Amino acid sequence: MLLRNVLRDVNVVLIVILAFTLALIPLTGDRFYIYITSLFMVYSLFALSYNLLFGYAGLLSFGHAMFFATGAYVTALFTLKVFRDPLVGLIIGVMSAIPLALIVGFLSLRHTRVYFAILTLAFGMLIYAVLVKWRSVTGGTDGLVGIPKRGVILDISSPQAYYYFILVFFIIAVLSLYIFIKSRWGLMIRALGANEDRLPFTGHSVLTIRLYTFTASGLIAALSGSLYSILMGVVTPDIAYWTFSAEPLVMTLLGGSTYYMGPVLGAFIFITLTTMLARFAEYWLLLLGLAIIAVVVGFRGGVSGVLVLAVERLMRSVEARGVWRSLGLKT
Amino acid sequence: MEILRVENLSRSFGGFKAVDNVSFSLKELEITALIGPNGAGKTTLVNLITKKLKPDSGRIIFQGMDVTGLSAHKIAKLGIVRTFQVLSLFPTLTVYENLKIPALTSRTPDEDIEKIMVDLGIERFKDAKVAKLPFGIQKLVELGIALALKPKLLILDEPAAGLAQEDRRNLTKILGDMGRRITLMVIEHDMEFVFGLAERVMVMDKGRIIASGRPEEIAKNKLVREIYLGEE
Amino acid sequence: MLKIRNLNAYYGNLQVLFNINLEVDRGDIVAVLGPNGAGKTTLLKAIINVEVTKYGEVEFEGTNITSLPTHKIAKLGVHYVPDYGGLLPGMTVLDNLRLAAGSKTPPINKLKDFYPEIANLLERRADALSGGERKIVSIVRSILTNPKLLLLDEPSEGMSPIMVDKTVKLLKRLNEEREFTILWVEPGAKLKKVIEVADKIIVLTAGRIVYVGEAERAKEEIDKIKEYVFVRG
Repeated sequence: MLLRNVLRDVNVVLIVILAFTLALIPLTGDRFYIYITSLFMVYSLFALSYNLLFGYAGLLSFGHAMFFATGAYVTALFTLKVFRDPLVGLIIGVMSAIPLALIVGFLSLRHTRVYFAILTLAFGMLIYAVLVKWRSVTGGTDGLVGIPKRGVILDISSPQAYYYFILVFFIIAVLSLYIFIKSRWGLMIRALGANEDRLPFTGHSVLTIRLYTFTASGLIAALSGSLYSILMGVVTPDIAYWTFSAEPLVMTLLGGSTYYMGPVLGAFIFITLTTMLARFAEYWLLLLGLAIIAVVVGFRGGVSGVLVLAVERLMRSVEARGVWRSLGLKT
Repeated sequence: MEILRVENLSRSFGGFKAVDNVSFSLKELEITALIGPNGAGKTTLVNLITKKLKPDSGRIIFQGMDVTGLSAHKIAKLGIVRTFQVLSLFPTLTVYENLKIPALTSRTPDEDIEKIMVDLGIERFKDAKVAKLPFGIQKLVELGIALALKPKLLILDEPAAGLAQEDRRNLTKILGDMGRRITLMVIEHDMEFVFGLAERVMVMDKGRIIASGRPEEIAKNKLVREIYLGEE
Repeated sequence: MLKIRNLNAYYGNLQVLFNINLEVDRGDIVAVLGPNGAGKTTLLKAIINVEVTKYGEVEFEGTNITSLPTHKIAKLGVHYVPDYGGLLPGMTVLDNLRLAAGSKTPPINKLKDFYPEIANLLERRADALSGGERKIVSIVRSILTNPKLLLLDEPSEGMSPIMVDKTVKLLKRLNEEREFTILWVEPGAKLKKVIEVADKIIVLTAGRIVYVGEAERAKEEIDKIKEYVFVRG
């Protein structure tokens, strides 16, 4: 029953279209586009994981990079020092989010939202400090290099190969997260964001819901970090620094936190702006700042909010509604 | 059969004794009204029983079990459910979703959620976002959330506030029917509503219970008339 | 004093008030009755230009206030008391009252004159009051602002019966002594009490005015009024 509803959903259609479009990119043969689209997928997952916490549960975190960095470094260390394979390394990297989420979550989530935000900042920078200081293991500020793409089980050294590797995990993660949000656990998370105070009086523990939200969010963020380390072949501590935690927040605000795919759109805009304007390196920060101001002052729903408004207006015309219905989509 | 027993419950805020050594018990399936002047401590008493606030001292015994130390969500799970005077719904969610959340706790199946919505007359708003609904409907959703928890003891805090006369009569009927299966305690100021529904009335003033008995007795009680009822 | 002409009000795309024409004379108590969702609160909000999109004209003491920003309307002497009271939560009752009186310490004896109970509430924080207590304080607060026109949104809802009596008597007395003009919205449960003190009764159902009557006539037609109010639009 859930599956049937999901298949007729606009978001699923969007995901499928996106998947097909992304699948075609390697056919261009352009290494740069393959690379930049891979980065887009990584950042999208990072932003989506952030929005689960922020947009759905209403929990603002300034330390989300801790999951990204942990996934990245664990995958790197595992493939370099224990077992040389990207697939196994990825799985281990993703799993490392669980103990991290449970420990940090247990210590931070029982507090009110303001204190939680500060605690995440503190824990995030704690991880950064560990990565910088523990030179013998993490390589300190130089980081770790030579993360292999050619492994015992999987060889994804060619651009096409690593691209499709990332694409597969991207699609699985985006779909799974969506199904999760539509499930009863997703309902509880949305209830948390809607009226946390009422929740205990409906028989649910706020702490429990916060914990599994934090863990799910951490898992996806760690996945994005692990994919990043395999993509780049190099990891450095800056991916744990607090400013990196601000990036998924910016992407979410830009794209819109109210719609599921908003953060993906935000990641797209973010990457487009930063790479296109890399030539005008001095200016991209200025433009980014202007974009954020625009979002906060006028377009609270982000770009996806504006798009949805436009589509709704379009849908109000009778012909368009007919088209929508004939496609079997919910109006 | 006693369903709830409260012993020596007290709670202060700074120097102010909101609930002062209150003891009473509720009989199973009896409809009790809790009345009293504004600021008497009625809502605070309910907050203490449902653990929105922690008591300074005293015990709460539900169905023979000491629940004094339990947290709010555990109390709700056991079957002590309350509604709020100032509506506390999940505004961005639909009516169905608002009821589904407590239904997950009580493992109430979807057909029963449908039935609750039909009984309250709100099933046509099933997929509407609650924030956009008119006030009278929102009040019914508030009640629906409580019902979806399959309560054993339901405490209603001013359920009729803001409702027009016909809605009040409708509510009295709904609660009357409910009272046959669930033990009810109602805080209210509308005397017509109270006397039309309650089998027993408790009166609170300045943090204490000052009178308790059948509605007719209370209506004649001199002290109650003086501090609360006025001319009627 | 207040003239409303051809008022049509919307929340977003939803029309809530249809072609409202209404006059409130200086010194009158006008009661607006009606079932829930009829648009009573919307009417008050439309007058002070809050949250509502409106078309039509609102005139106060000869000034066109239709598009005036809310704070300017308040400066003209129109005071709105919302159903939740509108007190500043972090401050004490006394401070809330001081703000209303214009930073002069309000005469405490005078306050006791309105409601004796208020003496006990002065030091309490506004968010630590019970629902009914909040209502009482918000009414006192509105009196201290010395308004020309008082817009009361279900002021007695949630008050104990004895407090309802006191409130109705207090408002009637102030109306006589100080010529407060009052526009009073009620859901109908306290119909009789309100009709006794009102100079004019208006019944609103589903966004339209279905009955307007002067006091004496209204008292005779009370059953007809009840029918209008209690039948949902």
